Amino acid sequence: MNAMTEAIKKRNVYFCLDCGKCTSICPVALRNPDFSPRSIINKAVHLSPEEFLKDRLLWECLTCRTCRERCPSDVFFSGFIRDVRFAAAELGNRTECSHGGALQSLMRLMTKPGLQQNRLDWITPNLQTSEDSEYLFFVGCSPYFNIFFKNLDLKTIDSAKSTLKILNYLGIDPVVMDNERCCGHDLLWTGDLDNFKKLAEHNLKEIKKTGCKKIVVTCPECYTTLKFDYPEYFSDIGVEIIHISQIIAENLSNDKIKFKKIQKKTKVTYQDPCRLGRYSGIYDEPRAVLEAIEGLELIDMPRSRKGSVCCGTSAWANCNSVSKQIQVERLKEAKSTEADYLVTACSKCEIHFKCAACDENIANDEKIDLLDLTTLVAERLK
Amino acid sequence: MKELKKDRRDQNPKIVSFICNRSSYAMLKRDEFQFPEFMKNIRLICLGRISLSFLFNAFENGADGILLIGCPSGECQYSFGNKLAEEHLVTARKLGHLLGIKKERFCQIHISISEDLKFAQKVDKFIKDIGKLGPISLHTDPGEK
Repeated sequence: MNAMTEAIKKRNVYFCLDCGKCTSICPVALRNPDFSPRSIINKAVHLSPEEFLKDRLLWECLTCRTCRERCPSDVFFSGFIRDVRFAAAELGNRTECSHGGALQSLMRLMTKPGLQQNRLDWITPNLQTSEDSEYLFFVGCSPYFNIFFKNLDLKTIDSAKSTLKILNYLGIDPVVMDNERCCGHDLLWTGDLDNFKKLAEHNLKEIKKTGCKKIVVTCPECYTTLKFDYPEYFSDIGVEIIHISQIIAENLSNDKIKFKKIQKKTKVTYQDPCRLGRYSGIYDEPRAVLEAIEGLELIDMPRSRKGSVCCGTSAWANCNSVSKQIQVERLKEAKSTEADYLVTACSKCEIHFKCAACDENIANDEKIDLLDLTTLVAERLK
Repeated sequence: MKELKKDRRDQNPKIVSFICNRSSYAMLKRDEFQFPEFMKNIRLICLGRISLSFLFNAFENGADGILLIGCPSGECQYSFGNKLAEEHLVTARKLGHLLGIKKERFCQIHISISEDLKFAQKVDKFIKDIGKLGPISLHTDPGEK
């Protein structure tokens, strides 16, 4: 089977030394003894493709890329998993999506050609956008999550509003597309390549129409998808992709951003989203932003930066008891730093942690409040 | 639900109804009710069983309208089922608004086992309303016209 051979070659699977460092660091393997990146790599080489692609364990991987940070041979396990999932899904080995697959349905609805969304209702009159700007703000799915997860008492739309507020503060009135669609990240990582391509093609066409030179994103998943995956499957459109924390950090150094002091000294800790940290290498900028706010003290968790732990679920798939264990343990780790808040830079991390915190088995004194990075910054702007 | 895709060119509206087993499903089987064939009726143990995935999956597969048929307030066997369905409906309408799906395309009917005439009238009205709204424009490329 060509797809398998190609994936093995592309992701350096033959380089595996069988050392098992991947399995020793994998957050899933720690809790689910059946799952082991090393044995999956072994099976990929030794079993027939048909037999290998039937394995349900292919869907257990969180694609958090922790294993690649440890791998001495540069085997890109998460990438390999992504590639073989396309072939597995074609053979009928699909994942059970969380929320009954409703979010995937919304994404697939967004591939429809006649879709006319009303997705800009959140832009209040005090926020400025323009039709013609060098900058484009790619909002992502936060308007949808805002409604979908309202029972968690979360306002994911605030991160979009805050991003726009910060950009306006910096004198940037970006273009915001009314027909922007999901970037396709979740479909790409759950084996639905066809629909990912449809979404990407549409977005690329619309981005081209705006004539922008730079795209600002808040969602780390949109960031990696636009920056790395669109050029991988389509030609490079020559637009720079910037994460909001990069813009803020850059403007901190030239004094264009000033923050109001927080009167009461507050301690925070920071969760590195997998897509922003390990996939994109953006570790310092969010920390620089947090440290720049006077009155805010940043304390890193014992496992941070490259060793940071995933929020337990990815692409709205594989949400199970392992995910919950990872999330609860991470919340306890955050609390152990004696921080008042856990700051996240990803709406999904926030949703997952908030959901885990609803668990009645966690004592109240072990719970920690969550804050979104952009919302925190926008509130402190002078 | 995949059957919905086959006859897109057909002029009849494609309606998916989710029906509570306790009240209305029995009425559907009676001879005096001749519901059109284009209505796909899905029987549920209680209307509270619906989830957002059911509703959006139906639209994804070509439905023009969705009808939820359950018991009136206070008459649910599980006490919370119809209320839960209503909450889902509110969320679904909001998400539908984002996607450009009109809220009239989602409808919930509360019906008691004895109100058979009212039931028929309400279903008829919904079918007519969806007919007036026309086929959903999601699946047609505006450039093709």
